Amino acid sequence: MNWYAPHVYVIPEDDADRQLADGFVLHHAVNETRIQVVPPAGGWPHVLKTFRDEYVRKLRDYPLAHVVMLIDFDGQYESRRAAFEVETPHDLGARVFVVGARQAPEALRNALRKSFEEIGTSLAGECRAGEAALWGHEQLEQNAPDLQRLIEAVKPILFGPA
Amino acid sequence: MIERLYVHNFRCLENFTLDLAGRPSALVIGRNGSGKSTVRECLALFQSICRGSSRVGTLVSAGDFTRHRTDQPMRFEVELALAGKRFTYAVSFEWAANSREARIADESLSVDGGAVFSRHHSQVRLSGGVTFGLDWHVFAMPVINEPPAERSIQEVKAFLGSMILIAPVPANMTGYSEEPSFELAGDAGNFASCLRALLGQKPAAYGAFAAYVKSVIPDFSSIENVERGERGTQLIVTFEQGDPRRSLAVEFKALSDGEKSFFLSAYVTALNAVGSPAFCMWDEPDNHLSLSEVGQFITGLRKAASRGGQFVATTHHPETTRKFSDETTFVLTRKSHLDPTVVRPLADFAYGGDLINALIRDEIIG
Repeated sequence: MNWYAPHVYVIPEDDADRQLADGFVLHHAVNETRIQVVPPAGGWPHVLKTFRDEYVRKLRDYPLAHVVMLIDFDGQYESRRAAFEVETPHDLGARVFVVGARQAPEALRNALRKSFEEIGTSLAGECRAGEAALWGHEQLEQNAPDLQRLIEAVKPILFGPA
Repeated sequence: MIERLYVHNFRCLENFTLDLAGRPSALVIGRNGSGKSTVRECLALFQSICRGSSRVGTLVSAGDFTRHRTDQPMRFEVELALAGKRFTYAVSFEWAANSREARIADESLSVDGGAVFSRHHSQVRLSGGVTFGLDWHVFAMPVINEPPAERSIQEVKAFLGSMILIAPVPANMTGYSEEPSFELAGDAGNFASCLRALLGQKPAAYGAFAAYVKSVIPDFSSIENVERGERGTQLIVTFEQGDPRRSLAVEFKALSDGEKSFFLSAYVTALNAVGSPAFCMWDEPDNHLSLSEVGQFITGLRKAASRGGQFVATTHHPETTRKFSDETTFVLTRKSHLDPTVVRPLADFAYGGDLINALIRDEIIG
């Protein structure tokens, strides 16, 4: 990873989220040299701790770094979203994103009858095309405000020239 | 693309099926001795036949029969989907009493269910009904010539013969070559010959090759063959950072093991990029790479394969394991050296929590 070029770290909550993220990166148009999916944190509190302990400093040291936290909202979108907002320094907020399934990715997988990886690849395709069919699924629609910010910030990094 | 591989009575593989249908890439994991490399050796048998090895004795010995069980036939089948057609090539061996080598019991090739040729012992029957005799110890596949309008045997031979089946030994990748070759050796020692053949036949491949290398080695500038001795050429790699006046040229053999792996991956990527999609099975592709490089390396190979090729890896590395999904990972297990290998997709295992932790606790491959 070139720290001096725009880049994105993805911190998945668990293995299901990890497979979603890796599926996203597998989309043919995604520049895999600009994105790194790090090992699953093992629960949303650990995602938050990992972000606080390891990535706040990285975001400060490298102004072109971005962090996407991929979590399960477990039906508690408002409170969980607020927990992450509290821990995100105001000056870094534009480069930090929290997205995930309303319940858990398993609900999405069961509804779509596709693997996590296939869903991730489809989500990348929609990001690139500016579509929101899958992103509008009831398990994902709550991400709309963050998604808009995410696409504006990250799309040029991942889908731009190498 | 390989859709299915079936093997019976070969070393630890008994009634073994690897279902690769619909999987442009897949990972095979399992303990040491579970049969991962044996799968590659099965494919190498098909590769050898299609590259022209005609005698059974050079490919199969008595020790290859499961638990030396030479009284039962050994069988190999591979199903391929190529250009919209479905091919099945199968060959089985038997060991006659008092014989010093295995012989062919049956051999056949079919396309979309119709026989191209079939063979029982020495009698070969072609699709038009013509029959002829062949030495029991000689494969029919390399010796049958089709009429000009027929391409089935040629298509299968070209695909299986050009498979990349590697457990690279970077020390053997010196960059020296005497002639081009499209048949990459198992240790990748003839990498320079293969790169020479690819760029000679399809110069456009250099763009994809160089772009890949530059994405992982940013100061890479170019690679060229210079004459060495009477017949040979040596790969020279040039690095530079911005200013062409400050460049460094080194012989390929001076690169690190990991850097040589990057060049090998660039070769596979370039093959797929220029319309020569390849099947690649790479034993432990993460060997020699730093932790931060593994993920991008594996993802790159998976993406290259998705352009019509196919990539199968084996690994013990956590980062490689994480770059595949539960649906694209196969787990090989074997209770003991006396038991056969069992293959199951990782999706069949209800592991809890983190996959790597579950593997470390032996909850999956134990």
